[in-house]
Amino acid sequence: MTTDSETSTDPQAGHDGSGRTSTPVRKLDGIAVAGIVLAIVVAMTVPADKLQGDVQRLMYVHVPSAWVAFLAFGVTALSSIAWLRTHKVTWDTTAAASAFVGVFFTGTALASGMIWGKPTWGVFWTWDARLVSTALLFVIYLGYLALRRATPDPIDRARRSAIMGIIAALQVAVVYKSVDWWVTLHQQSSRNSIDPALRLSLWVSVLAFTIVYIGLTSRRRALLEAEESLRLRGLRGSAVAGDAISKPNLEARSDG
Amino acid sequence: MTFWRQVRTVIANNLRVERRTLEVVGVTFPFAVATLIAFGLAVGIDAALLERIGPALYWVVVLIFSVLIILRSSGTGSAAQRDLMKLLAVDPAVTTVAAGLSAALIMLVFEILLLPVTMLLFNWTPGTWSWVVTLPMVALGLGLLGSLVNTVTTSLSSRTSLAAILIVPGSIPLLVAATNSLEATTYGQGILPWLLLLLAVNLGLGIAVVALAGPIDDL
Amino acid sequence: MTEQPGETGTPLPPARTNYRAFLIPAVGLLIIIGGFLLFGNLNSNLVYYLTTSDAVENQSDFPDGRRFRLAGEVVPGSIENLPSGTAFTASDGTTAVAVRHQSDPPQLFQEGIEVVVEGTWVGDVFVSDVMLVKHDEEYRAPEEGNYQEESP
Repeated sequence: MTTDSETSTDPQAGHDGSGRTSTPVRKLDGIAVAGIVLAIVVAMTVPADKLQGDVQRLMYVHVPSAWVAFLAFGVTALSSIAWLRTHKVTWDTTAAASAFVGVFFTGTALASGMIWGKPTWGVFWTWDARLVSTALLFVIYLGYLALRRATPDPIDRARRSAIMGIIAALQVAVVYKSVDWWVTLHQQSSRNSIDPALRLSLWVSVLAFTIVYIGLTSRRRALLEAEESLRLRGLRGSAVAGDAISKPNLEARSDG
Repeated sequence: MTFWRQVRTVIANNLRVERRTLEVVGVTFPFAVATLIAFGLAVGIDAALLERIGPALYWVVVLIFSVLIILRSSGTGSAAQRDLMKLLAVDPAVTTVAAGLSAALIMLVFEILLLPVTMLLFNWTPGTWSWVVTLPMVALGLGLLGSLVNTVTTSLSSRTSLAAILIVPGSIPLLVAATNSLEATTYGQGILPWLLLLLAVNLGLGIAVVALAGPIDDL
Repeated sequence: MTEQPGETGTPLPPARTNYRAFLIPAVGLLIIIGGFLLFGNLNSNLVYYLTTSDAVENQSDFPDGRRFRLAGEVVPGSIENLPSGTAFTASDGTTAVAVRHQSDPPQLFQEGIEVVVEGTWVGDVFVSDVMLVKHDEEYRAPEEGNYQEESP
């Protein structure tokens, strides 16, 4: 295994940065909270859409959630490629953490989309391109997470999920485009047809959600790395068949 | 031996296994027929409705049963069989491509067998030539996707349930293209875009199978 | 396949064929097809509904009981509330079709808006039970809203 040799020999220390929350992560939490508060304030003060009324404010949850989900799965795919090239553990944990957070935000985008759909389209669920593709995105990455859970060996898991992470991103792109042609009732990208005040508010919430994404992903990654170091420590402590023959005492050697 | 000759040999071998066990033709196919009958019974005796949903049911059954075909126990995707291929110095891309193509051929036989049954049960006539193209294209896509998923889930204990959730959402573009080429002819439109979509998906999967064969081989 | 001799004395790494000869043209072809699908302006014939003109013209192809989707703009002044839904006239500018919608229309349903209804012909009336409002892609602040007054 690649990480074994690098882990600290001091049983108290563990991985650097794992288990404990480091200061940059704490700072990020503060910025994320501030960003969300700002986004809420801006979203509630800008005027709502003329036609839809206050319901349109759901856009400030819906659009950023969807954006973050796509960002997260993009990061997963790139980290998967990076893992296949370098075999560094950190790429694997980044891919896993990012996919996990992405699934959460896909759920948020779906839920807010359905709540928004009821008053505007008259139904919670319609066979709309974005809704269908987002639901499939959700299922595909649930599959990715299931594959991770199903593979016990860390190296094996990293390799399988890296392949899956790349295929999943391709699938998402194709699914997204194909259902987009199929049903076209969802509005197209509204970047050019949106009121400037509303657009500003949208940008603020997109930014806030992105910071939240970075915060959650780094926390999740720290958690995964802590789990891994815990597992390695457990392996080192437990009795194995070779114990009876010889046991290299690394601690004693480094002390002397 | 050249690449394609190796692929042909492995495919011939895989098909021979199916011919001897008749797993898909003798077991999976009757199960699919039973499923179609159950669908009809569940919908009730509304001939007009059944006629309308006939093609949709056909494609859904093809899609879901592709999981059974890809995971068939007479398939040659087990870890031991892959190890043997490795020992025989067969290139990993050959193994994966051949597995995908033989699954695609078996899938095509399954589709062709199921088509008249659906037409009979749901009193529906295809009435368009597009089937000649969509059937093999969908079979090829499902076979290649299945081959990728099969190798990614090799030797996992939860393989059967895991493969299903990886295959079905990924094959949605195939389903969309297949059903919409039918829909397009109903509304008097051309089906070229959907054929291009099928071609693009199959090409993308083919590239993925060949390009990822190396990393998959290390599993 | 030609064997490339390594440096003298160093053993060759295990041979793994690389499939550049397949991958490069395949990726190129995929990019061409993908580009055509994305930018080839195919979208116009991928939306499967009939305009009111098409529907009236091809009424014989869709006999009573065969479902299809019909798109049109709600003609101002034609909306009539029925006990079980609403009736209105949909038009694409040239041909008008009387529509009887048999459930509650969505909140955004109003005069002059684009709708897609799904149903069947009953004589010369289109009876629908599914309605989707094609929602307008512009978001505007209300005219009397504070934003408009502040902006020049």
